[in-house]
Amino acid sequence: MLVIDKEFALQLNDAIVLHAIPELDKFWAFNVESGDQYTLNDSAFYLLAQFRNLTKLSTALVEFADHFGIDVETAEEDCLPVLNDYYDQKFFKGGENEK
Amino acid sequence: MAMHQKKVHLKSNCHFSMDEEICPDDEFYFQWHITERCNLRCSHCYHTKYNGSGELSTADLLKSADKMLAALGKWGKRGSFSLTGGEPLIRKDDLFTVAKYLDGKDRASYYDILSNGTLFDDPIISALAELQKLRRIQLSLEGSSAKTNDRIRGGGSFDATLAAIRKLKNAGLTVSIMTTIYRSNISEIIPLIDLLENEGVDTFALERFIPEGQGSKMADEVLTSDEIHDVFQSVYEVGRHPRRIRVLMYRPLFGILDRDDPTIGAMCSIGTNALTVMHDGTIYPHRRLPIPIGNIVKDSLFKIWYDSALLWEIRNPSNLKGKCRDCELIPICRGCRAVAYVRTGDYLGEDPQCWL
Repeated sequence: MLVIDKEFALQLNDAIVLHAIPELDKFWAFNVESGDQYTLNDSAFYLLAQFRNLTKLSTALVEFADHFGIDVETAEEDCLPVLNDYYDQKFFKGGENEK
Repeated sequence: MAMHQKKVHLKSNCHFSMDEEICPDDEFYFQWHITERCNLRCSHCYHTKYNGSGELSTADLLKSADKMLAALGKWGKRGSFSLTGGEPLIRKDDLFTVAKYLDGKDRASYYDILSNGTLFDDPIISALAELQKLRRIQLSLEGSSAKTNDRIRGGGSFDATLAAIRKLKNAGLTVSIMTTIYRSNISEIIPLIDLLENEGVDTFALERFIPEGQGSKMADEVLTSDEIHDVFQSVYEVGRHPRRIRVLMYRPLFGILDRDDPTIGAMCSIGTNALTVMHDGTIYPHRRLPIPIGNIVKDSLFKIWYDSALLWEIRNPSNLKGKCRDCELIPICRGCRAVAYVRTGDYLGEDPQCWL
């Protein structure tokens, strides 16, 4: 479980790669070690793409809110539970959180 | 996108199965060249070298099989394999080791052995007959006459192939013939199908000639789109009706001939349901698109399949160029990327042999 602290920074696990064919409205995440794959929608893809590099949650949430035209509080409400799910599924590097 | 005005829809469709959009079939195909060594030197061959340099050891062949089978298991796919070369019977011990290994694996649905037909002796044929998941032995002929065939495949190969067909059929094995079509043999394709039917051959298929490898010296034999159309149309006319020999038309462009006939045509397999493994483990998107995208021994097969920039370029139909880009048949065809690559230098280019 990810501690909900917006000053935490996250980065996708090296095994997680993101690919999309936006023209077909298709978005995916893949784990190149386990072979697991995940079909995403555009918003989940956009959210995960924020963490290709080490990024603070607060920064990603602001970007997300701005991109989708919602306020940051709503973005938090939407995104944090989802990020927790992905965290539990080892999408993010362990021990990379930095205050 | 938004579930309602102030919420962003994030997680409705996260799942873990092989995605239907990437790999729509329930089968995944590996063309596996266990050697490049060959006792023939066919002038249209896509190979350039015929030595054993870099060949995988028996142990690495089996490790490679395990990687392929593990991927199939993860994807929930049945595996089909073409075990080929070079001439795979030059490594007959390893060929049979791999074949028997696949026999014991649930994920392996079946395999074909692609051979030039010159090395089948009685012990080998008996051993082939014992294999559990051998679907077909595929041999090649380039025409209905020795003159046309042997000009490409070497003196005596026509008679040798016919002799091999008869031996294999006598042993109860299923035999397929593959023919590469080019300018000098198109007049013999229909007579060849008739000949093969009389010989008891089970299936016939054709491939378009692509001038690469040894075949690059035969560029003047490449067919125009009109010639391709005429050959495909005539093959369709004789193959569409039931006959003793099945004419396989699962190739891009065939589907244009009759868009309502589900038994013909096929999507280009690159990036959707196939990979080629070379003698040294190098992985190509397709044998006729020889651009390395990884190595089965050194790399993760998942990494190659999920993260190859080339595969992703081809998977996105909006990247295609020319008439392929806007073609209404993109969902079922996409042209031949290998033909586009060899003829135009761009694997995203239009299929120059499409007659539309």
